[in-house]
Order: sequence, then C-alpha cells, then structure tokens
Amino acid sequence: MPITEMANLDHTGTEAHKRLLSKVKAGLADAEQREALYTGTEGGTEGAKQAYTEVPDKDALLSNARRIKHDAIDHLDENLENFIQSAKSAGVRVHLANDAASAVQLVLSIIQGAGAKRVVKSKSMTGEELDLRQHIEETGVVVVETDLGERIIQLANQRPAHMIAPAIHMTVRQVTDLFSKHLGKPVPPDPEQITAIARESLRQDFLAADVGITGANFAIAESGAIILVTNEGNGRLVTSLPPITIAVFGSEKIVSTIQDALTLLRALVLSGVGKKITSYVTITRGGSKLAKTGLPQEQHFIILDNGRSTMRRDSTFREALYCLRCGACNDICPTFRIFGGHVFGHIYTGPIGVPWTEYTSSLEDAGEFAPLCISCGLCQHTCPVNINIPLMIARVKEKYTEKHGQLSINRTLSNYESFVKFASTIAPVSNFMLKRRVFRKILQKTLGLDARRPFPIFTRHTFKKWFRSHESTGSRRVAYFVDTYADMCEPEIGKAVTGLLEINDCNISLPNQVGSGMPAFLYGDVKTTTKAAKFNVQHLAQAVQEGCEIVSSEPTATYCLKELYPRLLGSDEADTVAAHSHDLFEYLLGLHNESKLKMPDKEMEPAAYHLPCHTRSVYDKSNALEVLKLAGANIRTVRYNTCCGMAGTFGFKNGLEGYDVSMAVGEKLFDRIKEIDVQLVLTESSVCKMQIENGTGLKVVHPAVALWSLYKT
Amino acid sequence: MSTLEERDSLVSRFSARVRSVNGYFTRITNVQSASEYVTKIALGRNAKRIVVSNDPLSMEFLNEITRRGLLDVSSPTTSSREDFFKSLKEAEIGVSSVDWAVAETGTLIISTSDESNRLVTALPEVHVAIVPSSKLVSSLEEAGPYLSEETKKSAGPLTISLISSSSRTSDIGDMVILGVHGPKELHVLLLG
Repeated sequence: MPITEMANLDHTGTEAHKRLLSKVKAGLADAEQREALYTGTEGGTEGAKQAYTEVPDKDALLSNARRIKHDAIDHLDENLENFIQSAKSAGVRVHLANDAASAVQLVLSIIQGAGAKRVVKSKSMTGEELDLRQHIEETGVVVVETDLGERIIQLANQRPAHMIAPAIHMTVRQVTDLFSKHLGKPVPPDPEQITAIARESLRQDFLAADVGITGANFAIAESGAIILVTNEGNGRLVTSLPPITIAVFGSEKIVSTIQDALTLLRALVLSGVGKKITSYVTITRGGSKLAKTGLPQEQHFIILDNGRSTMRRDSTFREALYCLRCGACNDICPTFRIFGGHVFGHIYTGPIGVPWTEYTSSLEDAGEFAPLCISCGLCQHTCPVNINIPLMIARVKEKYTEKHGQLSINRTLSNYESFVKFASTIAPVSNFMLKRRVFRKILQKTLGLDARRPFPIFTRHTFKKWFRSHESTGSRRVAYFVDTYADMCEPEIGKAVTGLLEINDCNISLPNQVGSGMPAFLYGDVKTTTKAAKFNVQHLAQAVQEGCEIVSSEPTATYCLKELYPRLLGSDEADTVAAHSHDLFEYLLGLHNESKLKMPDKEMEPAAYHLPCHTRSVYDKSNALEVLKLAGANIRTVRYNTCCGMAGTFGFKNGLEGYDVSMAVGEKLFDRIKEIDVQLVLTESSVCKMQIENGTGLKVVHPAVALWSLYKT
Repeated sequence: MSTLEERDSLVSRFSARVRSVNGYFTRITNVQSASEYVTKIALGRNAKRIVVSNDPLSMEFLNEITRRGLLDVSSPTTSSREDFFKSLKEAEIGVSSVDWAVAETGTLIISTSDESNRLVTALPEVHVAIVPSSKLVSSLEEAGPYLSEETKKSAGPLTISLISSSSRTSDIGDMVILGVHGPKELHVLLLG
C-alpha cells in the first residue's frame, strides 16, 4: 500500500500502542528497576570501551569478524552440508527444524523417547525463541535453568530482560525475596551467600538430570563441533553429566573453520563482557564416555531455520544474521537503558531485537516496541560486526505503519522540515505564537506536541538569503550542506561556518539542496528520506565533480551524507559524496595537518562539551574538540555513553510518547553537565542543544559559533 | 623455539594474566613439588579427597602424592568407574595436566574424550593444573592450528575445554562472585 493511502490514526493509536504506552508509564515510574538497568548497561558499555583500548588491532579484528560472518551467510548452504556430515560421522544425531513447532516437537520426542524426567538447561536465546522450557514443562518434565541469571528469571516467571544478562533489571533485594520465597526460608541479602545456596541446589540438579539442553555460540562446518561460551561453567556440567544432550541453534551460527570461530569469539567476548576471554569456552562433538557408566553420551544437534532463510533473502535484513548476540546494542541504547528488554524487546531484546522479532515472531510483535527506537544510530556504531540496525528498524516501522496506520503526531513530525520552513516564512508570528502557553496547550491537545518543550526561534532572515548577496573568493572550493536549523533557526551558525572557512582561504558555494530527510526516517517514512537523499546526492555529486569538498555543520547531516545515504541508495554517486563529505572540523583539521589553519586571536571561556550521537557514529570522536583544543580552549568533555534523549523530533512529542522518555534519558547527562562548573556548553547538534538547554537551563552554543567569535574580523 | 628472554616474558605475561583473574600461579621444577603444593593446600583447607585425571603427567603426580599417603587420591585408572564417580562428587580438589596453555589470555587447553577427566576440572571447588612450560604459547591465534588439528585428526567424540579462570557470575546486582558452579579457585603450576 503506498504511504499516501495509509490509514491515519488519531493520537491514541492502536491497542498495541496503548499497551506500549502503559509499559512506558510503568517503566518510568519504577525507580528501582531503572537504577539496576543503569548500573548494568553502563557497566556493559564502559567495560567494552575500556577493553577495546587494550586491543591494538581493533579495526582489523572487527572488519575481519564482519567479513567472516558475511562469508558464512553467503556460503550457508555449503557450510550447513559440511557441518551435518562432519557431526554425523562423529556420531552426533543431527536434525533440521524448519520452524519453532517442529524444533519443539523434536526436543519433546527425544525426551519422551528416553523416558526422561529431569532436564537441565543452559542459557540460550534460541531456546527462548522456541519457548522451549515452557513446552517441556507442559509435558510434566522438570526443567531447571542453570545459568544463575536465567534461574532467577525462571523463578520469577519472566523472560530475560537482556540478551546476555537476563536478570539485569533486578536488584539484590528482589533476588533475595525470590530465593527466600522459593526455598520457603529467609535468605540473606548477600549475592555471595545466595550464589552459594544456588550452587548447592543446582549441583543436585546437574547430577540428577537425564537430559542437558544448550544452545551454541558457534558451530564449525569443518569439524562438526559446536562452541559454548560461558563464565559460570554451567554449560560444562550440562554437557558432561546427563546421558543425553541436545544443542538447539540457528543455522546462522555455522562458520567454516575453528579459526573463524576464534576471531568471532574474541569480538563477542570483548563487546559482550569487556574481557579478553570468558572463563570457559567448550568445543564439543559426539559422544564422549559418560563418567558414571562409561557408555557413550547421546548427543543431538537441532539446527533451526524459523525465518532465518527469509531474513537471508532480504537484502536489508540479511546482515541481521551476522549478530553474535553480544548484547552491546542493548547496553548502549538510550531507551533500552530506561526500560530494559521487557518493554524494548519481545523475546529478542534491544535494537537488534527489532529485526529478529519480525522474522522469528511477527511484524506485529516487532512493530509494537519499535517506536521506542529514537534513531540515534549508536547500536550500529557499537555493533562489533557493524550491522545496520537503524535502517532495519526504520523498515520495520515503515512496514508496520503501512499495515496498521501512522499516528497523527508521527505524521506531523515526519514533515518537520516543511513545518520549519513554514514557521520561518511567517517568522515573527510563529515565534510569538509558539511562546504563548495557551497556544502550546492547544498544540498539545490537537497535535500531541508537548507544551513543556520550547521550540527553536525561527527567522525569516535565513542563512541562504544572506548568502545570496555574499561573495566568496578563496582558492579552496567547498560546498556547504546547511541543513534546516543553521538556515532557518540559527543563521549565525551558517555565518560562522562561512567565516571560519573563508578566513582559511575557502571559496564557498551552496549547491541546490533540501533538508536531510532524517525526521521522516525516525517515524519509518523511509520513502521521504530516500527522496531527500536522492535530491541531495545528485546535486552534491555535481559539486564534487566540479572540484568541491562538501562540508556540513549539523551532525545529523554529516551522518546522512556519510552513512545513511549510501546505505539507502546503494549508488556509486552516494559513495562519492560520502567520501568527499566532512564535518566542518574534520575539514579544518585537514588544513591544520597541512599547517594551513589560521588560529584565533582571543581565548575562549571555559566550557563543557557534549558529543552528539551522530558525530560519534561517523567519527568515534569529536573533531570540534580537537580543533578547539588546538586553539587553546579549556574544555571539559561530559562523560556520557548514550544519547541525550531529544533524538531528532522525538523529544517534541507529548508526555509518554516522547517528552517524558526524552527527559528521563537525558537526566544523568544534565546532572553531569551541572557538576562541571561552567556557564557555557558546546555541542554541534541543534537537537542536543535544545535538549541540554531545556534540561539544564545553561546556554548551549555550536562550536563553530564559539570559535568564530574568537577571531578579530 | 624462542630465546630465553622471550620465554621469560611469556611466563611473566602468563602469570600476570592468571593472577589478574583471581588465579594462583606458582613455578615448580618437578612433579614432586606439585605434590608438595597440593598436599599443603589440601591440609590448609582440611580437604580429604583428591581426584586426578588420567593423562601421563597427572599419573606421575598421582604416584608422587599417593606415596605420601596423607590423602585419599583417586583417578580413573586406579579406581572402578563407580568409585571414581563417587569420588568426583565428593572431592574438594581436582588435579589435571593441560595440552596447551596461552599466556595472553591465561587459558588452559584440555582435550578429553572421557567425561571423568573433564569433570576433574569441573566439579571440585579447587582445580590445580600442571602446565609443562614447553606447552606455553603466546596467543589464542597461535593455539588455533592445534585446535584445528585436534578437531580434525579423528572423526570421533571430542571435547576441548578452554579454561581461563574460575567459575564466575555477575548475575546478582552486577557483582562478581566466584565458584557459582565449578571451581572457586584455579591454581596454575608451571613446570620447568
């Protein structure tokens, strides 16, 4: 259905949306859970970040890891065949399952065939995908989860709230209550003592088990072995004590060689737990002699498809199969950090959970929590195999809204760039109106724009108008991609960019251009974004051909030019534009490297600096900060691992839809900025600026404006 | 092979790594000192029962420690399967050798095809590994060809365990706790 015929929903939306909002409301109110989630996710992100600083070959490792997964998925059929053959000749019984139901049936028939009564399980997302524990329990067989986190989840009768840390959302107090209730006697609120109690009871379960069930982190085609990665060592006991073991895993886990698996293992462990290696890695195949009887163990591999082949056939979603299940995208995601996987997830949690849910469960299940993605792009940035998760989530939103309709507020904000244009045309009036509380209350009621969120000031005296009567005479040719904000809201940014470039001998031109189209992307209107991408790429490619380098001052614009447009268009032209595009400060650093950067005349007042997500996604650092430091500025970077929370236009939306979530995401950032005793905050993004000004009351300035003010002109 | 200096640096990286993940590291010159070491930690914690895997080096160790006669020591070769399984469940200390060890990650690589041997390293609260210094390599990549060869040399049953620290969890309140299922303590004795 074309997007124009799409159902138009009012502000209340579908039943699914109402469900999401009620979960959002409960999540925001649960201070205890939010603190537990923050500790766990921040620990995860920070741990991985630190660990990678000790990896000198990080870039080579990660590009190698991506290549290995790329090849493995390309050669999946061949690898699968080799794997089955090698495993079978080692005595493993191999089964293929097309869907969840047949996988469950296979497991149940193995259990029933052996007359088994007790099953021990180690943690497996594939097991969760199948609801395996629940299905086995329904047949009257006792199943015990042996990973401590998963055991907690089983006792709480919940689902894992995180890909690798299932009980990340629970506090020590809650776990204490859970074990006290389970054992029928009080347990001390001490993780060490609870763990000791769990050890004793789980040891008996291991020894009594008839069947052990695991997943697999990797499967190796050349040898028919699987690899299990654990810290607790429960995987070792699940696979060594029971007379029968079953490993259930997706076909995407198969790689060609053990060397490939070792490379992926390194990336998985660094990104997943911030370590060089986990306590235990077990490579296993076939029926070793059982300790108790000396008889060979009966081992089964069940290889699951369940939507994976369909995923593999889709050019956008294919690379979701590269996922190593490290959970790093869960940890870094700004909204996951507030709500955890019970809200931001179905079975597969967090950002990568959106595409995985669509294919292994349903579009409906994926579309229900996808609106919590605010398109910051950090998931892809942190992904060890660089999966384009943001594009997949935008596609899920697109498919979902085409089927179920778009919320009126999302439709309004998809057209944000047109709105800014209109507001700028009628500028004094729009500014006057948007400051009136009564008018804002009306907008909140009718459109769903939160009255607490100040709008930017619009101006009729746009940058582009100013530039028309401006003459540029330098010798370096630069095409400036202005984007909306620096044109119609704060033309001072455009003028500062012009000044900084011209003082460094640049000849600036403004090729024909429209806004980046990113606001539409956030709400799954990928067609509108693609249209903007085509237009901009066509005209900017022309400028490149004429000898220009392209410079932008809005991080989202740079992100679009360098990352999103090439992915959306897949054209050589888009790649050329990407290669010649720079944020202003990257360009200035280039001049500095040629010793051609003119330094300012005055000193800057001390300031705090916030790194926008889209700058981080493209450069993994701030070029602005480097230039300002070269200019002798005294700047403290705010240590913050996730998005500020405004996320494009997300923070404009009313209450639980946007504003409340946005402010919750930014809360810790605001505190940290206020702790740094300065009056001035610098950040390149117009969106971060609105959020930080709203959250701290401090003045926020674009680094270009701050730097330009230091020159005597 | 490597020069003496390189060897020293390899050993110091290995020991630093083992200690950095709460492991104990000691250099020994012969199997006799291994039996002294194990006797000492056994008496220190009032441990009664020791299980030993059946690789050749561990067997040498078994002979040494049995001679002392202070502890109840058993291995798959010296007891019936039934008795050994009972010992496995009760033993406080498990002693094994390794096929290879990796300095950079502090990893012990142990290949088994009888679960009795794997359980020596998995069930008791203390695991003591005797590592011949000739088996120490620098990185996992360096051990890769061995792993590849080991998985390909026969078509039969196979388990290779890579052990890099004691059993640990951080599932409750994000706090690291040792010994959740397997060994709480890992002792590495570098031989030679």
